Amino acid sequence: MATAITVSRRRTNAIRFLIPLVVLLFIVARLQMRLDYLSSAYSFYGWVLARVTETKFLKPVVTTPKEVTDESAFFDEVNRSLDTKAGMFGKTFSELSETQQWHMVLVEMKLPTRARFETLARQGKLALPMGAIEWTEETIGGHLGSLILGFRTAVADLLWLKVDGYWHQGRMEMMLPIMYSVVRLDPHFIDAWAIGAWHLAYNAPVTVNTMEDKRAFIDKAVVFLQDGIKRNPHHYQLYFELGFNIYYVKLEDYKNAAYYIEQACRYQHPKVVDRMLLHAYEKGGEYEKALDGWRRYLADIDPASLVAPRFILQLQAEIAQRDGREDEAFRLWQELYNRFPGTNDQADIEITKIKARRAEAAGKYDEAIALWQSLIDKVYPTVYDEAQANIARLNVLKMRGGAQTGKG
Amino acid sequence: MNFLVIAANTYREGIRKKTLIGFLIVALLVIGSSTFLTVFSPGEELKMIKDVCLTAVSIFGMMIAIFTSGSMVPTEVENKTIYTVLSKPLRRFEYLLGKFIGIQFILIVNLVLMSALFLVILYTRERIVSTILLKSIFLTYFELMILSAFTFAVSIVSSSAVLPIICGAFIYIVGHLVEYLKGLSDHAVEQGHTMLAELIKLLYLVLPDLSNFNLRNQLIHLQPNDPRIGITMWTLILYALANVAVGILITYALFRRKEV
Repeated sequence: MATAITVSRRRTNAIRFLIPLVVLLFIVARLQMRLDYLSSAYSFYGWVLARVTETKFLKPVVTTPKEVTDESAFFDEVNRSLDTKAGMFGKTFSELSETQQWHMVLVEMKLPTRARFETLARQGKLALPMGAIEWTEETIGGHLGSLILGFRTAVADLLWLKVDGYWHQGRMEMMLPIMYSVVRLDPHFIDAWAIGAWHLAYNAPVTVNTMEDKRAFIDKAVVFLQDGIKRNPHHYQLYFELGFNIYYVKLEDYKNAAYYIEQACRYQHPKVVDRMLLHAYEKGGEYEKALDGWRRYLADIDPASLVAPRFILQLQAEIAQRDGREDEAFRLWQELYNRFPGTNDQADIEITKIKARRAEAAGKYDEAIALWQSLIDKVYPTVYDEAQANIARLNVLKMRGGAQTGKG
Repeated sequence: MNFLVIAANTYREGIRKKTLIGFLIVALLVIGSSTFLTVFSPGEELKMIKDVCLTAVSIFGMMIAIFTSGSMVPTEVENKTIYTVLSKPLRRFEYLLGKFIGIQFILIVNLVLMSALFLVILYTRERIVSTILLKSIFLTYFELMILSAFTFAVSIVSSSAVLPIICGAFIYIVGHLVEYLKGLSDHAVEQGHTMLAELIKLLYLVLPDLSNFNLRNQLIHLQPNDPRIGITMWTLILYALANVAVGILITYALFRRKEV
């Protein structure tokens, strides 16, 4: 009898613990499911942003014929649905604020979209940005995140020190793979994307001989930065790096430079980005756009700017010169030279060139030659070849005693 | 309110332990010297400091959590003080709760000290106190709270402090690898083992998945207005509290009938 009572009491006690335990485990399981949902939603959000950024704001390095893949079909469907929902605010999805985009994605992330997204991701059919979702990456690097107990960013930092070490040793072949691992481990490490692209565009090409190989490295830098942008679409710096460091300085492709610096200006950025955009316009021959920009810069962004009045005057002179209004251009260049002495080589060059042309037109070849020679003596590298050619041409004219007009 | 007396005593006893003070000193040294590391990475000083300091806070916090939770009850059994305490009119649940709260006090004080130095270093460089950093440290605490709850449960069935400390380290490592079960479950479905897949998925859902708290490291590099921070943080806090409740319930179930 006593044994039966003991067994019964034990059972009752066990039930008293089991019931709350099961309830608590149920709550834990529900919360884990909620966290999984949020994690998937965030990956989905990252993928949508990356695709929207790619299709709307990035230009492909190599243009290939558009083919319908599982991913593109899925994206078109999702994009249509998101744009329809965003239509309630009178905007498209890409025009919404970050918070609105996130909430819209949470609404979109219901079944069956979530199931389809996860299935395509697992099948490797989604071009997910590097480091976006660990379980979709087949490489060791992809799984490293879990193995290092969540200290991904610290490991990325240590690897970055290694990259720096290899760079100083000149071991490019060791440096580049680690650089890719760094951004995979910490996709929000903006400086790693920026400096990595700089290595690819400026330092790696030195290690190869043919122009094709050099160009291939620069293209890799563009793709690398575009990957970084897809992972960090709301950060100005990578757009700026792509526009300025690669297209403006390295490739001297001012149209693309202006395009990407314009994208950088859509987000919070320092003043230098605005200034470089205006320089890109100017270099690309868009003088009016640059002039308007400098006027707005002076009025709205930096009223105390010392450089803006100089560039405004310079652009006015350039526009006058382009339109064949040489007298006005000469006056503007002179005003520029007098108002900003010692800071404007271009004004000095243009004034001298106009004077030389006028001297030549008047048949004063010696004076014209002396003016071109003065540009060589002042060591202006951009005008050296032109000056040499004109001096040679003027010497011939002088010998012939001809009356041809000089080229400016 | 007996448990508060126990908690206060546990805190007083724990904070004097030389090993804990040792951990704390080393942690403060690592955090303090993080500024020297930046010499090797000009341009990324702030990121390096944040990452190194946060990693140090997490690792040393983990060691302190395991050590305090794993050694508190076995030490009392070894010193036989537990017999004196339990012979008083005190329920066992109150004793356990008091011990657990005392451990949390110790953990919080250590985290606050480490974080304070971290924030001072950052303040000297950035001249702002980052709220997002505080959130990150807050999440670290909740992760360590789960760890300490389960280590505490193991310590109840152990007569020496060595076993729970080793188990605590395993709980931390396994807790970060639980998410692999998710992939394993999908793999089992693909292979046609539906029952096995369900079992693995159930395990995945109920075991404490510490990798959820990896958000703490990503947090410091996200924009302050990153939309997921708020919603995910609250869910994580609830998740931690639910897991701690499971840990305490298991501890009580084990301790209730333990002969001491």
